[in-house]
Amino acid sequence: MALHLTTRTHWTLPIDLSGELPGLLAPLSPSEVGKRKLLVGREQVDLGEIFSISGSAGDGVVVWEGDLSTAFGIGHLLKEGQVTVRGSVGSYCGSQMKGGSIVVEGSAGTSVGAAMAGGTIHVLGSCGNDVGHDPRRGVGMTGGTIVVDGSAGTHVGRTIRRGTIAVRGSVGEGAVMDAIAGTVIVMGKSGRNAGSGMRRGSLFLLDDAPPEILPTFQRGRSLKPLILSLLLPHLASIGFKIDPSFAHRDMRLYHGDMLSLGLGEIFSVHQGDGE
Amino acid sequence: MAEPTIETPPTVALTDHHSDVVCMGCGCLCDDLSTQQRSDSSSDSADPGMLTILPACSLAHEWFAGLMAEDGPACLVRGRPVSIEEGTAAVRAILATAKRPLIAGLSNTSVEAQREAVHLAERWRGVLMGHASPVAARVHRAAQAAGLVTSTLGEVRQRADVVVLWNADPVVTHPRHFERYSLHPKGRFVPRGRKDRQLIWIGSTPCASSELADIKVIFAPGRDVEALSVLQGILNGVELDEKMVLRQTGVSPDVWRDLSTTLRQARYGAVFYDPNLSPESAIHAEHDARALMQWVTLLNETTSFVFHALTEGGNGSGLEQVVAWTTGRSGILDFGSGVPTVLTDVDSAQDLISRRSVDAALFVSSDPLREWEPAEWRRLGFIPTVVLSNSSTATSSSATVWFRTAPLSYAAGGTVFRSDGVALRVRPITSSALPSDEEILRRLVCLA
Ligand code: SF4
Repeated sequence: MALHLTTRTHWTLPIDLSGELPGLLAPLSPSEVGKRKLLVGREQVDLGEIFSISGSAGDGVVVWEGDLSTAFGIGHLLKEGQVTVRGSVGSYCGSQMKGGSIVVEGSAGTSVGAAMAGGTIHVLGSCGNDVGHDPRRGVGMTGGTIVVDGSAGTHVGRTIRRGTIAVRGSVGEGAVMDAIAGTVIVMGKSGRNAGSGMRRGSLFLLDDAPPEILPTFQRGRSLKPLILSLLLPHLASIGFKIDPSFAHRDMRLYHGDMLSLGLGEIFSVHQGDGE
Repeated sequence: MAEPTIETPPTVALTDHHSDVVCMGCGCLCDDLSTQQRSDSSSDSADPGMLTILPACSLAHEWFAGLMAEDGPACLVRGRPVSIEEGTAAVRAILATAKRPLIAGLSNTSVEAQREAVHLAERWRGVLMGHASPVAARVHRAAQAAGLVTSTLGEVRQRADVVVLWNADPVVTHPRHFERYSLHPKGRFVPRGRKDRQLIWIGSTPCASSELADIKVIFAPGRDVEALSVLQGILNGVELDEKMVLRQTGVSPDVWRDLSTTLRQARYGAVFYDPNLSPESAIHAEHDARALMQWVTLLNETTSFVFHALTEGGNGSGLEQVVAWTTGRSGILDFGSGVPTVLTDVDSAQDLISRRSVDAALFVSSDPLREWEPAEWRRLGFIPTVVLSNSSTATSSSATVWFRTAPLSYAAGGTVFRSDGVALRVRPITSSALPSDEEILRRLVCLA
């Protein structure tokens, strides 16, 4: 049975949950878990004061429940096991994680999966800015997969080096900005400055609206992005389904950003000329 | 640690003539003003008309008028006049019970006071607003990501033969910028002043400054990044889609090419950008500033160019410096864990207060309520607030503890940094019985 931690009341001050990993909590009894110290503002508070505790993390599963929108760092440095959040979480969820999986059933704050290297994150709601990117260190994700059922803010996949991000809704400005490589799929609308400064990597824009492509991207040919037929089953395996017919639809390819290495690719379902 | 004593100098009449006075009315931070009190009125006079400021500058008058002292007690706790000692004890009680105090609004005070504020945030493990505004923070972040080629404004004055204004209107926002730094002064390499300089205005909304320009390029509103991509593309020899360039920027590629040729012929160019003028949001300002910095870096492959942001008045630049040298970080810092952590999910004090993620606030020489929607004001009522300011404001009126402090550059001295990183010593033009921000903050640090 999983370890269930349910918020007792609504906290407006930020709660640091970056140390509460399944592997660490697994050998502990509920009373020992309750004695763990959490940083709330500048004070150390017993975990048991904030959360009611039941079950055990012996099976590597931790379930957080309630309003955790002020809790940051859930799943930080996660290596194995499963973290489920029945509610919304604050910033830096899954930051620098290396393995395991996180499911957020509500929305997530900024920097979901910041600089993550492996594992999967599934956000059923929407996300804030900097998905996959850690603005404190200026580095992006180097592996793993983030899928978002809602929308995401600005700078999705900024400085991504490896790994995959898929967003069902729209994304804000500056998607895959300064990307080194990696793959980002956006099913809704994308804001301006997408791909600015990208060196390599791929951005798939699956919305029918004309994309905003920077003038330093060069219009390429129309092709079927067969790479999607390899990627879509992987995304489906973590609960993010995309119509497989996308892999067989003609898409317009743009090469760029020519101000950087220029080996990046933006695939757009819209066949126009980047209006 | 022993509590420092605050000496209270006698109040003197403003009859003196002062030269080399520093004005913080805009980002120019002119340090060559002369002031003269026109009558023998006392320093308590709130009539700015009594002060003659030369050279005349409308913003400077406004700035000094805002600093004129008002009569009143040095400290109020919940509206009740008390001694400074009682006031500091009340602040100590507030900070001791708070789990996450906020220290904000530091961009109008001296470097010395800012340093004490950082110590205070560190001692009480609170949150420090380490930038002047969300826009300033974003421009700073752009510089960290893109790199920045810059100089002192003195170098621009001596060398620049091409001055580019990108969506900037210094005639209105920085009235003496042209006179002191960028257009008119005779410099070592531009001996004839304006005659040796070319002024290029690039932007989307023509303004007073664009009227003075030798070359004007007006592009589609909000298309700064696209325009800068084109300019970088031209410098990099990238093949551009002509139709796309025209459609996205509203300007023909030939105009951009001619402009690039002109810029490449400059011996020394300076690009000035006002992040507070055009963008719809702080994120736009970051993208625009990043693209501008990259463009300026590219221009340096063939000639010399420098980038300068036209900043707001005050000492925001000093704040960035102090925070950097005391903590090694920049932006909004949370000392909750004992080490400074940069907060990237909030942009302003308003964000923190409206989310109720701080439970006490100390504002130094600022009036945040003035910038907030009245609907937001009530949020400040949920938490105890401490205000250091020279005059009665919306924020000070609602404060739990209000210290009346001597305003910097009028009745208190200190060090400030100009936007180009040059430190200036500010000397007061009158003395005051009121303590400075630095003195009050140092007391609070000692009490911690
Ligand atoms: S230009 Fe700015 S700093 Fe200079 S005197 Fe005028 S307001 Fe003051």
